[in-house]
Amino acid sequence: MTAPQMSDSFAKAFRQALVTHVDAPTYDRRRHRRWVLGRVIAAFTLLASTATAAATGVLVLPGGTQVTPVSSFVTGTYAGTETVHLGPAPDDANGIVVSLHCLTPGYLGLPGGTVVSCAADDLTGSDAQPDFVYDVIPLTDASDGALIVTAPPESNWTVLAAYSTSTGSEWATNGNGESYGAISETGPPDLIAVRSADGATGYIRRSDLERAVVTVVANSATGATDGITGAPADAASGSSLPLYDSDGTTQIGEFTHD
Amino acid sequence: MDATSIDETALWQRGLSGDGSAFGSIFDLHRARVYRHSYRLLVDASEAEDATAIAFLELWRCRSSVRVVDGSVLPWLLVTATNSARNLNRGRSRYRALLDSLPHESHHRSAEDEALNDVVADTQLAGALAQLSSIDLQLVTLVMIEGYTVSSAAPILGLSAGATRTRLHRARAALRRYLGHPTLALYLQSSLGDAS
Repeated sequence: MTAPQMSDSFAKAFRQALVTHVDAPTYDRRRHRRWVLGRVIAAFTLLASTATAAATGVLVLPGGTQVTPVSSFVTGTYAGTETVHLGPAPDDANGIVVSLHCLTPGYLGLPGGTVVSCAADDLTGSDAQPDFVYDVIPLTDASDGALIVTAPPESNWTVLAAYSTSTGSEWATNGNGESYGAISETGPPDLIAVRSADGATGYIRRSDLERAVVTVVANSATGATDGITGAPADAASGSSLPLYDSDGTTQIGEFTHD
Repeated sequence: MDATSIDETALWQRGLSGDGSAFGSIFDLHRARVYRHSYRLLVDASEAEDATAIAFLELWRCRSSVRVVDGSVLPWLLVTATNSARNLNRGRSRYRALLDSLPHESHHRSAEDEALNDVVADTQLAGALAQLSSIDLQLVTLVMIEGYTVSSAAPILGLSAGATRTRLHRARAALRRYLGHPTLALYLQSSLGDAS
């Protein structure tokens, strides 16, 4: 008996697309989400770490990293993989602050592995999400000021980049002896700075977050699954936690995120 | 483990390291089975092509958690194609740009196709399968249609062997009710042919 067959033209085209898809730089999805969604925990770190924060005198969050541009910004619009030339590095530079924006669907890759993917839905449509990636990369990843951005030939993108210096800060302590501020390399403080999906900023308790993650993981083991693979759904989805002021007692709202 | 599974094990190891050509070879190995299963559920050539494509793209996306059975990713692909067929719009939205770039031929049915469709893509069978729960459909796919053992299917579905047997018994009874056929195995054999 003859079985139904996939058309040769579809099979050939898809095979090529699959090979290309796999060969493309691997998305660092955690980092992608971290920078692109702008709603997850580290986003407030980003908010307080930007050059804008330093330039306008906005205080950097305790535990956050202050990034200060020390050269003029280089801007431009490019297509495909290109090298952005920043020129000689100032003596006080210890990194390069970069913001990339997709103009067409595709992906953009920075030295060190940071990749942002831009689907068509990211650029248009009712549920469009920010289509940028922000990162600070070490000078060693851009030899002689040559910053290589990887992209498919048909992808268009813009860049904003400058040499920078980064300075870390310590967490603060509230009246109850609890640490508060941004997640840092040493981990999360007792009260973690966040921006909620509705734009509200404040702090969530680390203990609340840990309980929420455990609950979601437990639920995913018995029910919530990805509709395609059947795998447990994203453990971070759908949570709602109390949002506090830095005193850890005054509730100012609810923290929700994607 | 036979020579084919040994070869697939090597391909999968290469694929895990990001070797696109290895994924292309895995597609060559399993595309016919995955497509035929998708077609069985959807009874539409273009939709079956999309469901098949989504299953292979998911294989890459979820590569770190794919469960391999006897050196093969085919059972995982079949289960994922089953889910893709049931959630086709969701899968399409995840890979819209890529899928939109692929050529779907016009599938004009010849008299031979029509005759074939009566046998291979029995809409009555598709309708009966559509009434099963997701987990039961996955189970029926692997064990009753594709011929995997209960002990091979159970880990893929996250079930114990005992629970798998119980579910399979119930799913078989449900299919018998839906199809109204006294000898289900014979019906499946006549409708689907040899799974190999």
